[in-house]
Amino acid sequence: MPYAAEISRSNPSCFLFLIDQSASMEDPFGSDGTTKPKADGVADAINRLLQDLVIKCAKSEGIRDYYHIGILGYGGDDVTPAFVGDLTGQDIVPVSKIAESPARVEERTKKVDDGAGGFVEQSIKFPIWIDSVANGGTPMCQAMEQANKILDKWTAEHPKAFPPVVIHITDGESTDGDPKELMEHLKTLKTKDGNVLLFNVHLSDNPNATQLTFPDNPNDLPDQYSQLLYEGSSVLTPFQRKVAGEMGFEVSEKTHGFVLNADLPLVIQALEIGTRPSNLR
Amino acid sequence: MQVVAKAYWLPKKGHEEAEYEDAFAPDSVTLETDLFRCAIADGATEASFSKQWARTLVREWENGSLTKEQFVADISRLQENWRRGFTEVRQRGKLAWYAEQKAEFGAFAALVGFVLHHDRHEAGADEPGDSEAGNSAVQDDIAEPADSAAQEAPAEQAKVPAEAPQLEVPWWEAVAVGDCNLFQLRGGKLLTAFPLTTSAQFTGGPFLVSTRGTAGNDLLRHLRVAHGDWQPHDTFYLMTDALAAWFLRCCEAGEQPWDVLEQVLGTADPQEEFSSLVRGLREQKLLHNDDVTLLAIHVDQALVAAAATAPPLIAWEEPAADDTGAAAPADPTDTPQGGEQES
Repeated sequence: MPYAAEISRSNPSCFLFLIDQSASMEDPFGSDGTTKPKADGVADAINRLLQDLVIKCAKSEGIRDYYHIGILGYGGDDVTPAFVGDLTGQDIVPVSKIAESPARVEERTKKVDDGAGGFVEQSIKFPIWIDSVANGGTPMCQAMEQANKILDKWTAEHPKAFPPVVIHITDGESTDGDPKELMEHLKTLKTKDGNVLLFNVHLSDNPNATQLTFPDNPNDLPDQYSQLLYEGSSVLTPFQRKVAGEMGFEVSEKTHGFVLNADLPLVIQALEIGTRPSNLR
Repeated sequence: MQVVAKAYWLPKKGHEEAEYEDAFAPDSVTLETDLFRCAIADGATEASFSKQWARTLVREWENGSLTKEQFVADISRLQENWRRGFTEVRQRGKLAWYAEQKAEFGAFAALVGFVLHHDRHEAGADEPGDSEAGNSAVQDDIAEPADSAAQEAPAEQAKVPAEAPQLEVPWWEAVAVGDCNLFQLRGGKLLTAFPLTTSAQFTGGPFLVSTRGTAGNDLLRHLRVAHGDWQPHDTFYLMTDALAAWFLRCCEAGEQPWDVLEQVLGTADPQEEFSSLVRGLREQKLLHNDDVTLLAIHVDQALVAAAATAPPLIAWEEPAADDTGAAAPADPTDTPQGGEQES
């Protein structure tokens, strides 16, 4: 049965994030009702997700390396690992390295229930591994090529692993060609436990774009960019369907790992569905 | 009574011994006593410091600081101690950011606490002392707060039950939260499974005893208590979930897994044989890869001959209408007594 491999230190899995850092990511989220640039929101979501993954892998004696994690940013003319601080330049790192090497730890506030019907602001530590970047073009093909290269190597080195999950966040318009074939190729990479899973999160500026979460057909897609990303995404695994269903999304056996016109909370939910472990040991 | 108790354990495959997160107490004893307390616990892998919490729970149960009668209040006290200790560690600034944040989620453990009593309770006049219905255990009702307002009562005020059972026989009592299990064997038959009675009930996501929370009523709702009689030569097994699920699966298939265990425990190096058994079952995919613990308790083996001529020893109560049946199973393939009981 595919997608059933135990995730353990001796058999870790992998998450690879591909983040559009082109100039258009400076625009605000479409339906968020705020002026926060997409690039800021995506950086927040990824930093928060990394924090959650580190905590998930934390034990009293330290961090267990259940995951290897990479983050590629693409913008301007090239694709580079998006880590800042001590991890700058590294494409895939074990989660223990991530735990030890945030670039900085910011103090942020969150609202918590005060127990009397109201909320109080509480100070929390917020580690930062990637910064908000928005610059130049959208070399999506280069990003997909790089992802193929990294995961071709990783799957060869980890043949029994739970397959890598790729989460790609973009506002959708590639400036270096059609990435379709490269996305298809990425999904052909595999371990003995199954093929690489590709999630596409499309932060569209198209005025006709409605919010679509995990659709099972392309009927309501507003343009060819959404079409490309929908078709490029993987069908959810049964476990991912279960998690999405628990979160209140309608799912079927054809549900794709695709989200359109997402606001920040939805980006976070999509990340969680893509990265929830089914059988961590 | 003479009690011989010994624990056997193995960490999950791929883990070091130091990473084993079950706990048991005592380790190995042979003693003459009128009261014997023991426990096993299973610290949750997903949390950190669960091993330490599991050890705290079994140690406190064994020394009588954690009791059935004051279970919720006792746990509240342990949670408070835990919080104080955690605050001190945090103030020393020794914890990494992730360790601190993880620890704030709390540690969790499943627990079975078990007590053997040699004394005989004075029975009331209308106790069903000579019923033919069987020698099975009874899951006790738990006295929840009487009115709805009491649902908000602080944990210390929540009452755990349980009148002392009126038995004219040597007796045992047990508490359980989560999916650690107790089995009682007599004469080559499974007499009791508690609190879970079928392998399907091991779903992997039970309510556990947490270091956090003031939700005493939640804990009370998930606390199971039971009691029964024992006879010389009875065997009790306390098991953490993976082994208990295997044990019940075997029973459901008409097998007698206690024969396998007794054979293993009777060898010259029972711990090694036990480890070998567990490894073999894992390889055959018959046992989930998890920490495994067995605490085996034998009572008054030397008195077997005397027991053969003794009158029947019975603990029996009329089951509630919706109980799954309190009678002892007629053969090992029957469903053992017990069952989920919301109170």
